[in-house]
Amino acid sequence: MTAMAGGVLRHPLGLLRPPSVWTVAAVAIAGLVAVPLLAVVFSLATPAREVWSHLLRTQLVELMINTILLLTGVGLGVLVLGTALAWLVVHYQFPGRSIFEWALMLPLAVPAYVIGFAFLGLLDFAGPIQTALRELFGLGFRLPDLRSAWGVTVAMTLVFYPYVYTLARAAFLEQAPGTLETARALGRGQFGAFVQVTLPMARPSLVAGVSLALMEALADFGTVATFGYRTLTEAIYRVWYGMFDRIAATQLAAVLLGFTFLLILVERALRGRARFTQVRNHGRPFAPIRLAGPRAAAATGACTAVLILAFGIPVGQLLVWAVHTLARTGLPTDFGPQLKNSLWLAAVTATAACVMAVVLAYATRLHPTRGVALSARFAATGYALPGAVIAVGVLLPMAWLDRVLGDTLWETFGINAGLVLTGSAVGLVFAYLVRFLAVSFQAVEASLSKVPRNLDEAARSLGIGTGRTLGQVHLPLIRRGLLAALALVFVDVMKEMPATLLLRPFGLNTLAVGVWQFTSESLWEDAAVPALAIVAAGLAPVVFAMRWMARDRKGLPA
Amino acid sequence: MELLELLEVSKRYAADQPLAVDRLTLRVEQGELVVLLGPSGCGKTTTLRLIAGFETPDAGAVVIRGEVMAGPGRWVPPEKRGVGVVFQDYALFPHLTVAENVGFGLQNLDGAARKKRVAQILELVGLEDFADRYPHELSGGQQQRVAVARALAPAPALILLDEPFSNLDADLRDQLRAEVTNLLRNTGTTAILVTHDQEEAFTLADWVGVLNQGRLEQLDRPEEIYHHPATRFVAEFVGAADFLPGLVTAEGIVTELGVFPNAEGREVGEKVEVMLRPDDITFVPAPDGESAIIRRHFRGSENLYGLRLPSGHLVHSSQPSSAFFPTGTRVQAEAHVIHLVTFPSSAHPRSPS
Repeated sequence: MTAMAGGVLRHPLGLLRPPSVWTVAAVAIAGLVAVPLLAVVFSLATPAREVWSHLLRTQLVELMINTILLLTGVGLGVLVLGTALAWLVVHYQFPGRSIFEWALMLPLAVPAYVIGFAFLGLLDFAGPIQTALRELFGLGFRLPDLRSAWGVTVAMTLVFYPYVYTLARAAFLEQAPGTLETARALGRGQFGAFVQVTLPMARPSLVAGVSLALMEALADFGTVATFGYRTLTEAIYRVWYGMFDRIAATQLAAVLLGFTFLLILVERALRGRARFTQVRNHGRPFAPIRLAGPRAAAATGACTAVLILAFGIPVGQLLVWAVHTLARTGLPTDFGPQLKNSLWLAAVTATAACVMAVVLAYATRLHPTRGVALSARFAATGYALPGAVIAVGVLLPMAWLDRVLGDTLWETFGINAGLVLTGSAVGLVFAYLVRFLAVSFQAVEASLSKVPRNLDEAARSLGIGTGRTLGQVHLPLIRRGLLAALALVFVDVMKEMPATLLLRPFGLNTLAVGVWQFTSESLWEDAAVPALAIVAAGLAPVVFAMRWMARDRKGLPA
Repeated sequence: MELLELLEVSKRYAADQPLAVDRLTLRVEQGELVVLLGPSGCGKTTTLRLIAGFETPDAGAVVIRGEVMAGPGRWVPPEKRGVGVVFQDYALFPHLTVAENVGFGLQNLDGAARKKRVAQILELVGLEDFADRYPHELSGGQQQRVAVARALAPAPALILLDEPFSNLDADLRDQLRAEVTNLLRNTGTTAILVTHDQEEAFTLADWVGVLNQGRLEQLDRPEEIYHHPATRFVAEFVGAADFLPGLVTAEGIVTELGVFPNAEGREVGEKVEVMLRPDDITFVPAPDGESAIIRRHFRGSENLYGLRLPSGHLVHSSQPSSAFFPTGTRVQAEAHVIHLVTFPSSAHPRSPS
């Protein structure tokens, strides 16, 4: 029975077990995500020389420089702001802290392009603030032009800092209080301990947070377009819509993809060998230092200021505008259908994304082989792909399929089917799934990993198979994580603009499209109505998801 | 027919790591309680997981009730093996009540039959009043009993217990050990229990298997394990042991503490090491004695003395609690051994006697 081959025991049982249904499903999901990626990469196989040289001569260099500038600025900004806020909220006690703890994540409910145009409208030359300042200081007074690199950078920093904030906060909470106290006992002051102990230990989370923010910045279209700032993403649209040049757009998408991969590589390198899993919190929870007097006021003031800037002012401005618009012309005629479309697209995508996330996470748990782990990681990289790239990558195979389908149906049945896929929302939902699967997967996977493995084994030893264990043991235990995943994907789809603009079938508009249609003509006041609807619809799920994440501090089960 | 057979089972976790389980062969009859004993990392938990089906063996076969569960060309998943498991940390489902936990494995029964069986089992473990509680509302001992009840509810022929008492405090441990063993005997369930606690092994087991680095060094009755350890490892791991060099002569085995009969039939001229337990050695204070007391441990029920012999070797002697001698006392040491156990001298390759 023992097979010895060269001194090493061969595995006689190894051939026997067929791949389980979970493995197959996981690989299939990864394959689905791979489709747009491969489509874009393959499009490079037919390089259009003239297109390339034209791009190089005209704009590619400028685009790349702008993109790099933006990434650097936003990266630094969110790192400093997010880390500082997280540090404040975790280590100190000051008035309002328990509210700020979750409220500082509120900007997540507001799309970047909304904050962008809110600030532009407010601070623009013709806007209320500059007008008032001119009355005070004379007609020659003007603020520096917002439509510039630093304007976009500040706007994006205010929007994307929650990514760093959330992850930094979680990382700080996970650190056993003993390490910090040890550092203090060894003579480091508070700031010294922070820099030398807390920050390095939190490095993986900080790197992950910054890279998430940067990927969002890379992928963003609405904000850069509103600010007139030319990045790669913005160029893809201009080229696609303005010049109907699909080929050039695809080439630009490939360059954008290159940037994304570079980001991922840098992130990996910076993360080092530290794993991103949680360690169980030992013993007593963290005891924050109580602040008093001017320092407490400063802390509360800082948090309030950020919230006002990132959330209060934009939303307030939106409200003012919306009221004006409603009073003036009532609801825009498209508003009803747009709202309906946004809601059902978000609901369908969120449900599908959660089902896929559960399959992926469970498959990884059951069969932690390299193939499955790789599939899961790959499926989650869709988040890094800018919506524009995904849209392009989805359109190519779908258009091809449509042609094939159409030809077959015509030849076999004589039916003129038209554009079955590209003419429907299938491509759009597909693109959403590719993009947002990572969000649901992360939430579900984090919850699932908290369920001890021996519960699985206990169930199996009692005669319950893998499927029933999922239903009877795991799903009830990860209920909250699932709801958070649903909420997060729902909000993300509601806010999504780039892919929607490119992929939507004619006549299918969402609220985000509505915002774009107005802001592209600088009609801020009209844009405020659909923008507010997006924020409102996203607010409840975001607050829920934030409260769920905040519960982690108490170490409650997921 | 044996209930469980492990035939030359081997398991390695990674190619560059040593074997976790090394050609293990084990046979267990129905109704027996076998305890696998050994230090951490010896492979006892891996063995348990191989039997349950949570791991696949790299070689060998696992046979339960005459049916091959894991072997060349065959693999039966854990849910089909009918083997109950009690985990070290109980692994109770936190979202289910005690009754729902216990009834979890009874999905083949209909509602009324299931309720009846759950009630019956809960009564057996004395938790009939706790049916609607949740696990986090129970004490450690109660959780342990729920874990046992849950594993026993489907009336499995074989139950595996992984250090089930190690998370309980000492007095609770004794009580639960007795309860659980009674329960197992009354239901006629065959059990394999894994522990690193030798007292537990000796108290509970019909048979004790001592494991070391994946190998089964000895499988025997508890008394035999203690009095006739098969290898030096077993001798050192189970109970306290000192070793004195000895030489086999025609008159017997000559050691510093006297000559002993050559009961094991060793060859004349062979160098051996003689195993001595503290209860084998006594001493008498003597001003001209050549040995001396160098340390004393008061252990409540006994005094454990460390004696340095003229050769420099250290032996221990267990004396009654009230027999006090200060360190430094010169003594005459004697050995009275009923069962002499010897091993080949360490310089030679080891072989079980």
